[in-house]
Amino acid sequence: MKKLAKYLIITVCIVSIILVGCQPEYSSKKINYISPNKQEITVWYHFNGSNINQRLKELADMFNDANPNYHVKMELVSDISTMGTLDKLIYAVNGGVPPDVVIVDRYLIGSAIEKGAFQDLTNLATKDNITKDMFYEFAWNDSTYNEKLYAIPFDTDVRLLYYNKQLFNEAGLNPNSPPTSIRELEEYAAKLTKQEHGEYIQMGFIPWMNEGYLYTWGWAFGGQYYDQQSERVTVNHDKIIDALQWLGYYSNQYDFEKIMYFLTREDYGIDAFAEERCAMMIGGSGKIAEYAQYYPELDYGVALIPTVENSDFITWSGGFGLAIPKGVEHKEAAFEFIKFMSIGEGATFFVDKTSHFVCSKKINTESKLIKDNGNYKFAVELLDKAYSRPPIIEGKMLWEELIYATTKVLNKQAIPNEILNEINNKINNSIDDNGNRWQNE
Amino acid sequence: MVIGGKMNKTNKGISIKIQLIVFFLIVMMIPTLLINIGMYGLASKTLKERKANDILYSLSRSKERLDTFLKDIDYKLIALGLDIQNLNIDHDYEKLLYEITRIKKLNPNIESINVFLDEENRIISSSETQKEVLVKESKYYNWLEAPIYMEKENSGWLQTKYFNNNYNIPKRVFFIKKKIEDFGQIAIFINETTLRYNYMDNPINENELNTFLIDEHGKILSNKDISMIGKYMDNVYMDKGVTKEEDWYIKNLNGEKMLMIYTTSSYTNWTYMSMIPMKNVLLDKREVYRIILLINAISLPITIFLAILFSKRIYQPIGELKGAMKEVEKGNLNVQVYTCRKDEFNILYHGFNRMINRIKKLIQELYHEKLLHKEAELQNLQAQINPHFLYNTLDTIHWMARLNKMEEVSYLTFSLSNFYKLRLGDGKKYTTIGETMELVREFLNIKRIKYGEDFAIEINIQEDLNEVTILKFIIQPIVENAMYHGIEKKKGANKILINVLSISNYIIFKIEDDGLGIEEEKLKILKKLLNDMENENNVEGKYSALLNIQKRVKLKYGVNCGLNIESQYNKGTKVTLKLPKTNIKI
Repeated sequence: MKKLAKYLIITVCIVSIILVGCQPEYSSKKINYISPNKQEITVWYHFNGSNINQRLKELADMFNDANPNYHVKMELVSDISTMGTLDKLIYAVNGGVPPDVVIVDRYLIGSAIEKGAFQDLTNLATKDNITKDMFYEFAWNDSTYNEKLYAIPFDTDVRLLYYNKQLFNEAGLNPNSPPTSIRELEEYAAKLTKQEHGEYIQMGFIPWMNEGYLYTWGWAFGGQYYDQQSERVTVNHDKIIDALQWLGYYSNQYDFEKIMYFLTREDYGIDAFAEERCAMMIGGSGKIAEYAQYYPELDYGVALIPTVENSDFITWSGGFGLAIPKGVEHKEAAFEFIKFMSIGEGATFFVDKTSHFVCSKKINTESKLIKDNGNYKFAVELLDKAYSRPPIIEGKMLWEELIYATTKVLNKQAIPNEILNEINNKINNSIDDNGNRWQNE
Repeated sequence: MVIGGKMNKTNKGISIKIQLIVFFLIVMMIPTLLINIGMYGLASKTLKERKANDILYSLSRSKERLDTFLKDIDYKLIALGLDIQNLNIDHDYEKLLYEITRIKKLNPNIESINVFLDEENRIISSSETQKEVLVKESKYYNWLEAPIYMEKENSGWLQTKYFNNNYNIPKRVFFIKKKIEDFGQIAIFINETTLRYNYMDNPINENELNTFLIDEHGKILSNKDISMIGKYMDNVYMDKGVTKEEDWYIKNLNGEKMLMIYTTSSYTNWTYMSMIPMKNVLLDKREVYRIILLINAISLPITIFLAILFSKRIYQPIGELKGAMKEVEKGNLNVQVYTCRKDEFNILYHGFNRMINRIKKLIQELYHEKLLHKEAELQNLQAQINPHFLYNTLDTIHWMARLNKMEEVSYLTFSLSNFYKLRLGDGKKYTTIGETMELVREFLNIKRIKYGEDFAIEINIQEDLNEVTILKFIIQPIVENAMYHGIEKKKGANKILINVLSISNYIIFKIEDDGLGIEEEKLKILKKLLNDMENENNVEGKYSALLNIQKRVKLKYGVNCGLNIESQYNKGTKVTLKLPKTNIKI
């Protein structure tokens, strides 16, 4: 019996060892404990859309796995793109507890630099051979002030005319020839608009919807917002006044209140284009990914934004940059992560997973996703010639004032040339003040 | 034959060893499988309940946080209404605008605060770019058209679409509004996205969990898939059971089992519903099967090993017993099996050993009996010297003696002839007591001629005993002994008394003589020899007649029967033979 007991014990031991050894990997996710030897990198970010936010977390994990000496911690900071949150960053910098990296909307970089929030990255970039020609020019310009580089461009997009091929067919229009001039656009819009009991049930086009900012139309009408030589904004440019007048005219013609009601009716959804109640729309290239995910059935095409002259087609781009706030000690560590995100594996992952573009030309053109999707390909090729908002300290102010002017005109509360003159003076005065301050410093 | 054949067929070729191994394998594998299945079921149930409760807890927290937030906004709106009335700022637009902008700035979650002035058909808004809007038709403004609820019937919170500052992208907003008499309406708007990010997003299971905020009519108010918002929750999702304040259930959606968890706010009547695929809750089935397979693959060789081990423990002693049995079959009765085990095999082994010993003894006894019988037969045959010739001769002598008037010779010859006829008989092993007594009489008749008339014999026998059968040659040798060793060796001795009695179930033969008797020493030896049948010390061959009788009687009738001798030297001997009163079948 003793012998038997011995056998049993041995057997049980063997079985236990084997079972423990064969335990499945319950969690492939590693818990990244921050060891004292690791350099922690805190990153502030905020994007609209939980998908992108989630991908950024995955990017941090990717970076941490590949770089055992560093540990990136992503912190979602609510609404970093508004002035209020910029204040938050300033407080953190002044208080001596800045994040190591900020993913910042590039049009805010000027304002942030003006408040002394970011470090000069020129030397780090030179050391790592990061040069202007690697990125789209506008993105590099957004990030450079007084010949100094303050951020490495991260992502970007372009504005396009989206049009619904199905609705074009129904209205007897050729689904393969979208409008190319403003006049054509108006004609098509009229044909594609339907009313029932005095209310719109389908609209051809709403110029100010989605990415139809005054910025878009000003450029499309042939205007310019900034004069490099005089370093002054030119918001009261004739063509911009024309554009704003056109918006006012359109609002009047179709009845602003009726359009607003059409877009906010309780029985309709939130995206009139995706729900095929609006035949055309100016939208960012990111919509391509959104529609692929949520509205895979939608039969649409993308085209250049129509212009007045039926030529000199334009688009413009925005996007985020990666900056290091002042007071960050381990600049090199932070810069490692910035490189990973802007020109490294992180950038490739970002393009493939979010279908956003990055500012690195090479990564965009080599992305499999862009190669495979015609709409993406069309969009990415526009990036080289894309306009961008003037990279000035008053970038944020300019943006907000243009929106203010637009809403006033749409509501028939202002006259375009008057309000644009007003804004122009206001911003140029501010430029003068800031210029004096820079010189004094 | 048929039944036996069938049975043989079933077990043919399958040794008990294999049967035991197979049996143990089944016995060991079935519980393993059952345990595996049972544990999987138990784990699934526990996991499911735990997950559901975790999610429910998290949902309830979200609900409470959101309710608190919404109530707070509600109070702010009430306070604003009181301010408007009390501070008389209802016509001071600058002051009013300042007030609503201040409230908005203090709470970053507020999208906008709007005031509608009845008289002027004007909206004053906290919006940075759109502070005043003239309303042409109020029907174009969802929030103005919305009903005003009394506090008791509804929290007053509704969802609508609303434009942001830029008028470019409509947003979904939650709003609550109040009516102020002789003034207009006030409303606070909260962005759906803000609400979702700050109050509904579940940091746990961020990716796998899909959470919906649904109003009392089943309309989706909030979800991470923005295209779902505004749609009505299909009845497929909603269970009839969604009547409780909170619960969870399992629903089959598009062929996929989903764990549905919900909790309803008593403030807004909105239901928070989360769904998660069961496959994310439970262990991966393929993984489980893989583990079960692995466990079985590991336990199979162990089970076989153990089964062989166990069966060996049972088979080995059986095998030994089998071997011993074969030896016995060959005729070797000296086989003995030994074990140090204390279980049933010990008993079995001992039983086997005892049985073999007993068989051995029985065989020996039978052998001896046969041998003794043969010996007696031989003696008998020796006496048979052409008996017919002897009878004829004796008859001739008898008749010649009678013719010559030689009475004694005639009588003697006749008796002798009878004696031999009786004695030799027809070769049977058994005889009756009557015949035996007849033989004894003839014998004594012959002897009486030798000793004359003063030789007395007395035979007393119960009548009913005459027909009882007994072994042959057990009484007459005793009488012969009494004659040769007793009476003939003492002068004046002339008496033999034979009593045949029936005492209870026994027949007692008493043969007494008044002859020489046996010396004390010799009697002791004789008694010892008679009582110790196993002892073969009687090398001298003395008393062989008595010992022969004793052996045969004890072999035939058992140890309770047999001879007993009492004797006194010079006085006589008394031999008692005890036999059972049962007829031996002839």
